[in-house]
Amino acid sequence: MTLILKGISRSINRNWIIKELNFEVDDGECLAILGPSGCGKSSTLRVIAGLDKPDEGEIYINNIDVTNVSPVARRVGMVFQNYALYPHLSVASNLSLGLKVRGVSKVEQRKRVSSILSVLQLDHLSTRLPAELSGGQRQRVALARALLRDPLVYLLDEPMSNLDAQLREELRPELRRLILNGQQPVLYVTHDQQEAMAMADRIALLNNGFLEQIGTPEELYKNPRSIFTAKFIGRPQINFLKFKDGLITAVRPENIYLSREGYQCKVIYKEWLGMNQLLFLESSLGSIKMICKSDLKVNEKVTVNWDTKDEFQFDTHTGKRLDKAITKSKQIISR
Amino acid sequence: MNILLLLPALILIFIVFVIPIVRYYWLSIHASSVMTGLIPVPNNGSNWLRILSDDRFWQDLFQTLRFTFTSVTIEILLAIVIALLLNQKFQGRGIIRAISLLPWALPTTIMALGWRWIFNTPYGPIEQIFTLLGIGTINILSNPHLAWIATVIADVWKTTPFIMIILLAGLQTIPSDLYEAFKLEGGTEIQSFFKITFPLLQPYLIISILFRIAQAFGVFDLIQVMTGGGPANSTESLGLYAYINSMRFLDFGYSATIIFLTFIILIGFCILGWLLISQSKRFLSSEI
Repeated sequence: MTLILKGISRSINRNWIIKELNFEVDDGECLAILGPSGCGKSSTLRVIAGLDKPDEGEIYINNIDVTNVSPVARRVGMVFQNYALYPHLSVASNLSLGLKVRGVSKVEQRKRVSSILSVLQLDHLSTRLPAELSGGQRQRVALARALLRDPLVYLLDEPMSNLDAQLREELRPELRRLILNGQQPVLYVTHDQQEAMAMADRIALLNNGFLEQIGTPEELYKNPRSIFTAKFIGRPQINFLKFKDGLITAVRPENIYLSREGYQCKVIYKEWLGMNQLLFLESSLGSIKMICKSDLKVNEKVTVNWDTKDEFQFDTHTGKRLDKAITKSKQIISR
Repeated sequence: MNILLLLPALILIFIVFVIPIVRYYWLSIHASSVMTGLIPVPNNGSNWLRILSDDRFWQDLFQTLRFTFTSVTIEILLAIVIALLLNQKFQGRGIIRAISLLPWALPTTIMALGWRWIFNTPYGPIEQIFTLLGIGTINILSNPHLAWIATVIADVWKTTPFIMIILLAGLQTIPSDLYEAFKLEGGTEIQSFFKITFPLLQPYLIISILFRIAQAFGVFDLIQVMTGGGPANSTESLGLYAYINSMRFLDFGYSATIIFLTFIILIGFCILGWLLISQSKRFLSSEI
């Protein structure tokens, strides 16, 4: 049940929303589509669902070309960002409406709805209206609806973005249990790099409609191929330092350490993170962020350094990676 | 303290609503006409006895109900169709939306005059068309069986845009992802109208139906200008009958009785409508 996108492009009023997207999602694999808002994440999902038509390219589900197939026949299970629950119908009716229009018998409808309700522990809410549910409960109903569809592909459009941070973390294991452990390919759209890394097997990073980089979370973190990727993946954000014209050196805050030799800095601000602290340093190279365990004070003078193996070199103009590590990461990607 | 904050609103309601109604009721149990020198004299409810056996009143009630239900039904159906059309994306939508509102923006007396000429015999275009088709003159406005239909047509023309704009606003509150989710689940366009659009449009339909019933029940200016209540009182509404009694016969007591009874009947309809709607709502959420 693989999902393949070949050269998918879509434009609105002569502006390319997504351009030349190529990727493959295997059975049971979860691919996160990550990127800032307006980068074409949701558009990609809508094209796959069949809600929008691509200008160019083909989509294959299960090795069948579905580019010109109706949305129903594609059999996708989609969870919308705002859940798209029918506000005038009870939870049970929300779930059975799809079965009903697909001609499932009344007895079968009742059976399948009640079994999915108990799997998701929603039994006690079956007569409630969506407005009478909490955010987390609504999300579960939306998941239940996607599960009931018995889809070939799952499409999740920012399923967590309407929930508060604590609930999000609580619901991750449940989402994994219900959908991500299944046999189907899963596309998971998010703008939260942390969530993408936590949930997905691989991440496709989009920038302005283009595929910036695709790979496992580890690949993207350890071998960013461009300034954009380096900046987007990893928090706190990577440091960009300028030693030479036309060249940017990037070092992650967690790879910087206190040392006898190195660069003179002054602590100008600090954030306490619990396990450690995030220091904002001022140096001749510009401002530097570092993660530090020892308790330093503001205005204290320190000397910091890092290993050259932890450095990334980027071209200022193209934003592309220059140092040798790139060849290795290319091999990984084109395997 | 809370009561104090409500006071301005209560005073306003009292002045514009409670006082006139109480005054009408008070007038309805008095004789107040040229016969009494326009001085109200208590007459022990003889106005109410008179109205019960007043054939013209019951005939006008029948006409008002016929006019209300025919025009409101046609208006609602037409408005749904037009609102759905104008909710689609197409070029020049803004201009067409604005134009479609024009009939409602016209003063009733002016559009009623226009319609009187349209139905005029022999100069109006409708008669001309019938003549051209070889059917001959039908004299719509002088035919007691047909004239009320002409008033319904004029009313539909004028007030459909009003309902349409309420329904259009309602349509725009329905999130598009509901339709998309339904489409992915296998719903057709027609099913999505009956399963999503119609139930979610219900509050807007209720509002416009109640508005329109109340408005059409008190219709006056359209009838007054178009037919003057004729021919043979066949298009006379209750509003017009109350007006004739007070302004032509100068019988304020009886006119107030007509107005008060009309008011009670209208409230009855509103309560009935409310009950029907609240029942259907409960029915909708559990069963699809």
